[in-house]
Amino acid sequence: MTAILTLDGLTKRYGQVTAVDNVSLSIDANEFFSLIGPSGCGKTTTLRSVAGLESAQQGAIQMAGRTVFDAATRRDLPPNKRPIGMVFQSYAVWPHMNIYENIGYPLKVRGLPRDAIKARVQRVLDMLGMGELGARMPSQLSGGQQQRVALGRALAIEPSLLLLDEPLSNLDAKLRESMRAELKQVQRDTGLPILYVTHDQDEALAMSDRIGVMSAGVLHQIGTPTEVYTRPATRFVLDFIGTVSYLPCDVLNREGDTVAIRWGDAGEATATLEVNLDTPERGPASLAVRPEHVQLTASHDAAQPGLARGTIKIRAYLGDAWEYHVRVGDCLVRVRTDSAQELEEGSEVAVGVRQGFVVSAADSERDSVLFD
Amino acid sequence: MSQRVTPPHEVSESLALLRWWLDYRRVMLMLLVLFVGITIVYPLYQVFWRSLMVDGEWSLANYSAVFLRPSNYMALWNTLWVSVAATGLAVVIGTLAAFVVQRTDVPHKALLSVLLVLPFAIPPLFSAIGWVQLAGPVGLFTQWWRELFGAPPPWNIYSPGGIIFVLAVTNYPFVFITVAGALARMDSSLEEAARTSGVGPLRIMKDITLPLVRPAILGGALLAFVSSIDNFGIPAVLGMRAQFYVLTTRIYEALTIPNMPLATAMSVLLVLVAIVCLVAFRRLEGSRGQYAVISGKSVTPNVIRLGRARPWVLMVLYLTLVVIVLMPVFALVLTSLLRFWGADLSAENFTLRHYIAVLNQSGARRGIVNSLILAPAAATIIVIVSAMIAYLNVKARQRGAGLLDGIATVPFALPGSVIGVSMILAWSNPAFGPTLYGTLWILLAGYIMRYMAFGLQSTRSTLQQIHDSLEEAAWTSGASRLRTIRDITLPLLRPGMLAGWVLIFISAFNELTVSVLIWTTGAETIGVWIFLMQDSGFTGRAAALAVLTLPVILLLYLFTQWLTKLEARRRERRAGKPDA
Repeated sequence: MTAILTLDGLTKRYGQVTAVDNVSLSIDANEFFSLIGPSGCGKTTTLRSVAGLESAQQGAIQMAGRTVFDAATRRDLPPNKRPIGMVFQSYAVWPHMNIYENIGYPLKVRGLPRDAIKARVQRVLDMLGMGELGARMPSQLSGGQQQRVALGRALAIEPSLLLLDEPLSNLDAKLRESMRAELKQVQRDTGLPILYVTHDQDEALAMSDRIGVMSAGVLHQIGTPTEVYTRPATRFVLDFIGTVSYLPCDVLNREGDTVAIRWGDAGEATATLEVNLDTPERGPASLAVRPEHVQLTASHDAAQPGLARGTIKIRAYLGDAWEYHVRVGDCLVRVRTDSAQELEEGSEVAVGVRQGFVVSAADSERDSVLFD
Repeated sequence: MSQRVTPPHEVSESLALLRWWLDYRRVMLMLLVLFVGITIVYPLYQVFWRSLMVDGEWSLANYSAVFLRPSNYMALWNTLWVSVAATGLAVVIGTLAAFVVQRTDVPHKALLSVLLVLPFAIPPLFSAIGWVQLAGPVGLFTQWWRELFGAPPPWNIYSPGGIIFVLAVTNYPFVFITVAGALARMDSSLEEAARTSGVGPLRIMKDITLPLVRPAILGGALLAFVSSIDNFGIPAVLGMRAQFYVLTTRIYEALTIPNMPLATAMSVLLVLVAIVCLVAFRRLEGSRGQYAVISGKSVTPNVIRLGRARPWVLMVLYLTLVVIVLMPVFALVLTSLLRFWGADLSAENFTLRHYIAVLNQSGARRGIVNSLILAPAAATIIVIVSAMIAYLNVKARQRGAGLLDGIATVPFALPGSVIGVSMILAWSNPAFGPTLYGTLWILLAGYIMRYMAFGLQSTRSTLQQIHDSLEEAAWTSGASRLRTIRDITLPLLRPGMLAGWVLIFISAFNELTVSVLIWTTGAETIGVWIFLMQDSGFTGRAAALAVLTLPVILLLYLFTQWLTKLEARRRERRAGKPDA
């Protein structure tokens, strides 16, 4: 596959703050690539640098085989000279133009003849299921429809690359779900490579071919959704993608790719887990577990072999699952079980771990320690 | 990064430097700096510099001359106490009216709100003339009083009291608008909290509502005060005859002598008064703390039921409005149509001779034409220049544009007399360029300086409401910077520019304070002619000319009201969307 977009060592500073720190990545044709991270992590600045709305201080950007930005030679094509379509978080549908004029504007600017514009805009409107709405003004449309117009406007010129800046964050939950599927469908239909920026990990995991996780300007990991979820490259990725609870544990010994640990209130539980991240050789460590990797067994007796003793503190019914907050020793563990497994608050349970990450103990417990 | 640039790139670097210098934003900023420098900074500099110069030497002699002559000293003192008293009265009227309209169940609220701000549309000079015709020695009210009580009335319109009263009824809308606005936007849960604690509605007004709108009252008072010390027409018509002078009329006198250094020094004093009061108000406002309780949401406020008092309150309100808003205009119209003031209201006493006299007078005709040229010219130039400054400041975020915006707004806080004096100093024998004194150009320059802030205010706030992404979307759609401005920014900015244009047109069309200091034969304006006719005893003609301009002003004023309503409705619609 040939790369449609390549960032090479992109760095952008605002005074003392480094918003984007030496970021390199490449996006292939047909690829849906998401940049994800907390607000202020530099993902939007990266996107805006790709669009040409910001100028980085270092690095280079290649787009569709052309250098559009290179700090070393001071080459910096303005946005209107880059083969892109962009969708903004705030829709940015022009209020003084009707829907037809909004979508047709990029074509008009490029000097296409009137009937060619008309045909293309109608095709885009049909694709977005808004065939009849061309004459409406933006103020007469719902938020979801406006977002669709913004998408249509970005697609109209059939760009080499589509840039999306948190396009769904202003929509309500239901609409967001359906727009998510629609966006994915449009991408499959057009084969357009997409650079997508979001802080919503569900969105990124559900739609992307690959994900880049950013924090404080640094790109921590690039991988498929399963890779970043199951094999986080850094502690930040482990924390940010999905949910984890931390428990203290002791590493007994390490053999090849696996490690044997002891955990639980009195060290009564044992487990053998894969080596991940910064798993120490021996001694105190932290066990990070995802809610769906914890197993609960109702127990009225004493400890069962290999499992830890715990107490259900809070439970919440989610419809398709139960979420329990289980107290193990001084820590709270979040657990997600099948909706069939109903346990009472206050009841004693035996806690087992199917999968988990054994990481060094430094400052991980604070998240789960109970202060009661 | 420059340290990465190696010698082979030196050529491209100097090219880049050239391009940097020729960047359109930089070029635009340079031109605008030049414009603001010539029209605003240079005249201001002249006032302060010349006031400190006596025969080419640095000296405070001009200032000591101001203070050594008691009459000047008195003018400063008079300006202060008259303005304070007028502001106090305006605050009482404006705040009471705002509470009645916003917080009682009085009927006809929409109509009352429109009528209560009508004084904004009537030039102060017109009010002054109208009040002379009502409460002057042969005024209508004076006659009625005589017939009722058989004795002369206890008031004298040619007095400080008359000036204070007319200033107050001219300026109270400043207070009414700010207080009514704050009351409308106040979070009603604060009042509801008190109501659920068992506090009565009147007590809530006193203990909760009034303290919360205090910043708004102070803000309105500040505007009324600045407008009072700035005013020339009212103290000129009502005070000069009684030998009662304030700074603006004293400056006018000093210029007719002419005593330029004295006028200059008094101008600087007037500026100092304005600044001191501005600072004092700000501090007063600051010490009360800024309450973050006035939010943008619409609410159901704490309303006092008037019960049986309702028709009486309404009647008092209408009566007040008739007396202070409609009667002066009515008196003006009547004056323009009567053969002489005081004549019986019978058919043979009605005449159009004042109108015919005014229209036959070549000077007055010239004044009308001049104002019809100057007002649109000033409005157009200001709106275009301020749109460019605001664009550089708000959208292009060009460094230095914010400072330029600030400097160009300074004259807003300056009394008109100071602007008039600065025009004479700068353009009667200028250090560079042609002599503008004696031509229409000096009036144009004066209006530009005086109303620049209006244009900046309306274009700046409109641009701030245009989200950056609207321009960025056009840019990423393939439009160049210039094309983006043409297709996106300008169409969206147009309503703000139009509103600013109309506001400047109305203000400049009947401007008096600046014009009366810098007019010359051939370069008169409507305001100047009305004042001169009134001053030389031709009240009928003055009234006729005033009545001729009123329709223009009122129509444009209603147009601006309609514009702001339209804008508010559009904003509401935008805000009403479920997810915006």
